[in-house]
Amino acid sequence: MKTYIYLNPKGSWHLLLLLVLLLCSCVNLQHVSDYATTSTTQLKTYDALGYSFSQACDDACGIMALRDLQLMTTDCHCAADSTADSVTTVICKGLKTYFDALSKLSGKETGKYKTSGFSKSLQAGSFGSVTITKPQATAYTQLAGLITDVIAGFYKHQKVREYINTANAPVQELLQALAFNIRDNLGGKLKAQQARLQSLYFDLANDSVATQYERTKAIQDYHATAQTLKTKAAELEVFAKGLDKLAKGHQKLYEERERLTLAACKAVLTEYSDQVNDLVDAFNKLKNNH
Amino acid sequence: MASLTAKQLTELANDFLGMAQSVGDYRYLHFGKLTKAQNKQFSDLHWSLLNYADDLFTQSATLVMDDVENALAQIKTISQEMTVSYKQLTKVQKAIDIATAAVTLGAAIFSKNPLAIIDAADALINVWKESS
Repeated sequence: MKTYIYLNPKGSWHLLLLLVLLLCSCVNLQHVSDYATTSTTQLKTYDALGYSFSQACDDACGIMALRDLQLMTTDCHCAADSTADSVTTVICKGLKTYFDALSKLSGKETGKYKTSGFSKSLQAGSFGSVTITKPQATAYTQLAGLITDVIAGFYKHQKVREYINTANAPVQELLQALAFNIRDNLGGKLKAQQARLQSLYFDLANDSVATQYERTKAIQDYHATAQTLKTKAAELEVFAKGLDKLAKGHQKLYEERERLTLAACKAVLTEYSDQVNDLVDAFNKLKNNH
Repeated sequence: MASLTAKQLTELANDFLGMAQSVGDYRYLHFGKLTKAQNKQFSDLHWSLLNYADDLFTQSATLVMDDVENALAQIKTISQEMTVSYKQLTKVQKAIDIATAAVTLGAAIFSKNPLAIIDAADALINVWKESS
């Protein structure tokens, strides 16, 4: 005797499918993935800074050689600056790895699966004692896909929430440390270099032995070099501001981790992502105009 | 004596930078009144203070590592766990692909069509190979 599996597509199935679809819509974490991707983009601009502790050390060495009218800059002790660069790079890489993993885990690739292959393979017909009609085959396929998505989606949601909860404290600490090294320490070294430059050119511009032309030329050179340093300082500040925004965004994620799918959370996170994107654009403009 | 923190070192560096700025400004303002030797003395003092500040900024940046060591280790562990979770979720797609190929083979066997069986078996082998 044949067994008929009864599935009425117009009956309770609609309600069940609707419920499943509703559940599916609850675990869309694309906004989290977008925020994490933006964060990775922001952190990547670190490589484009074009200024480092080692560079600052070389520059300081160069200007001191100029002051002493030495052709060769042999006494550059930049080992400590090289270590400072390593520390800063390690922090940046650690954060990049985290945001990259968060982006992947909360992204489209996970929790949404292609089950179209089922509809091709699960065809209507008689299979031993079982008979499947065409609408039944389609319904089975859809349901299998949706259930898979729901289970995976909830697993994903739970995991993302768990990781954000554990990661917030170290993420905040690392973002603060990175901003501190870039804004306060590297920025501080840049200020020292600006002061050296001013001192050097002040003497050149006031050199009583120099001609009027030489003095004018010294002032022109000073303004050009000072402008370059000013642009570098602006780049460091824009980068650090971007890090501040990332920290605020992650803090928001942490505070709203139980309500990640709410529209309000999505809106705030999108706003942070937009602000970080604007800062990345501002950084690129500074780099290109330089 | 307790050693200074990264933040304290940066504060100190900024103090040196401020002192250097004051010395520099004094020299620029009184340049005409100072003798050549006095000017050289102020200039040397100015540059020394700038170098101290510079070195302190570098030391502070290096010392940051002590502050963030635990945070770095934590974030490394979390990132690794996230990658494992991500891989588990992507494996679901592989499982679906294998199941789909297996169902196709089953349907082909029921159809008793030898060519369809061979095609379906090949497809299953390929999906399996791609997944492993």
